[in-house]
Amino acid sequence: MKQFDTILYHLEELKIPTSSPLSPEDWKDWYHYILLDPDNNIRILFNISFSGRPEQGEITTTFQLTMPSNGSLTKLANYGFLKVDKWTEKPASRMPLEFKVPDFLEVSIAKDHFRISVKHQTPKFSFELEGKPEATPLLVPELFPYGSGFIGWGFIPGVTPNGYVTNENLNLPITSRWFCYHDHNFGRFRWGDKEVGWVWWVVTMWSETNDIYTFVFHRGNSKDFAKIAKPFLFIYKNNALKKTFVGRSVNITFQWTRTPERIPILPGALASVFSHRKVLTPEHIKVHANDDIHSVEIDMIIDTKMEIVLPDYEDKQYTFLKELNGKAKAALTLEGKKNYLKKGMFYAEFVH
Amino acid sequence: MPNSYTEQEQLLIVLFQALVNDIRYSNNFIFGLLKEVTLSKKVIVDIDGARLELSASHNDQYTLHINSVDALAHASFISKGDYLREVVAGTITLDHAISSNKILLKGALEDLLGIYRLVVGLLVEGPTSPHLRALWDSFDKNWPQTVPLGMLIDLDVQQVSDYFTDLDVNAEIKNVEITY
Repeated sequence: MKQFDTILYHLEELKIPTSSPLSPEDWKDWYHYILLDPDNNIRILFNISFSGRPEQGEITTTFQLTMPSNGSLTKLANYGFLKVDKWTEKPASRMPLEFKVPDFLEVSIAKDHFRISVKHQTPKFSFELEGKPEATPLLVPELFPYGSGFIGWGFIPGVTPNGYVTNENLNLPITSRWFCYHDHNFGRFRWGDKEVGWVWWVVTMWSETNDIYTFVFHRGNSKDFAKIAKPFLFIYKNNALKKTFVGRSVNITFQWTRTPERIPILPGALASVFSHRKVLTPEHIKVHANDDIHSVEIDMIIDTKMEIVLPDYEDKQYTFLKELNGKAKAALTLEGKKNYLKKGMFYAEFVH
Repeated sequence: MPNSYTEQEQLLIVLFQALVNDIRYSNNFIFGLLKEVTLSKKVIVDIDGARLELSASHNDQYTLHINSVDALAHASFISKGDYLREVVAGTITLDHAISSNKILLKGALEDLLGIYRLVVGLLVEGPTSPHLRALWDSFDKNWPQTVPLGMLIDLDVQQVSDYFTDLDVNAEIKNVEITY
């Protein structure tokens, strides 16, 4: 569809000005991928984030793999890394976007196809992923003030993936049976800014009639939650956008742990510094949306928690990203029919 | 005194001096901490058997002195390059490394707390300092790896579950009652 082509172009193109040597250093552009395997209960997060400008800026690569531990179905193990590299080369074009970090990362992003290749050294493993967008792309170019700048984003909550994760003890194929979500975020803001925070999640559900339902949620907040913006909830069925709930029709509640606990921090130097902290974290997320014709109730049971700590390069402030994932179920009234969806997985991010 | 440093000792000497020079001109806070913790102190470090004696003085300016070490002298900071890699990568915390003897420290409590503050300070500054990152990269690239690094490490092992766990304490000791 021509219209989708235009959206995909604007959704995927790099937004950071690459030719001006005076481009502000608080520019950010990041490409975020979530992979969920319903058959083997495996979850992957992959993110490439550009900040600053070519030759001055940085490329941060983040990878998290959650999978059953040594064949156990109940115990999950978490692996991952956060790696910061200098952004040395100016990309030849914004679209398609092609760049590499020598001996580590190669990425090619076009509007109808992407390919990522990671060769990590310590611990040694490879991650390859290519994908083709299938779901209705949505671009939310929110150019209104956000902290000291602005933020916009776009997402494709259905991509046909193909790839693998390999290591000397692991050979994990990523097939088209996996669910793949992708978003691209861009804007100008500082991680240390008091106004910068959000809750985002994606849930995917497999129905007994082989339909795939996908739910995407976003809500902005200030770091101390004194200000909470109105949320968005998008509902997809078989990759087509069916319904959007906005504002007061959506309610989200968190059930928190009763006592503070230590949770793993994604490796990177700040992991050593912050991981002695005990923090309260959500255990359960419940969402209810209703406009008297359509309604949905979603229950997300968090079984894996991890934190990413990002420093602000100017103000020595930190932003804490809680990465949460687990199983989900839902009751949905859509197109005049009520469906109970029992088999689902989710990935959520809680930023403050 | 023979000054035949091994290749690894030479690398450490270059990196220690580069570290001091880097923070001297780029980070007032850490430089202040370095002076507070190290001035008029002496320590023998041992990383994978590369042993050096470090001391610091201040006449016109802060100076780090590095000397070779007598074979029989006891080191008070003993570790392996691979363990330091684990701490800097964050696959284990500094606390975990110390409590599991991956970093073995000996010294007066006040000095140990000072060193702890200094190391945490450097870990905090690292992600936002290209100089410190380059210095670490130089160590990481040039220091030999002794542990096979093919294994993916489960993040569950990152932290010490609790300090002063009584699991390893002998029952006789656990049952000792102290009366005042």
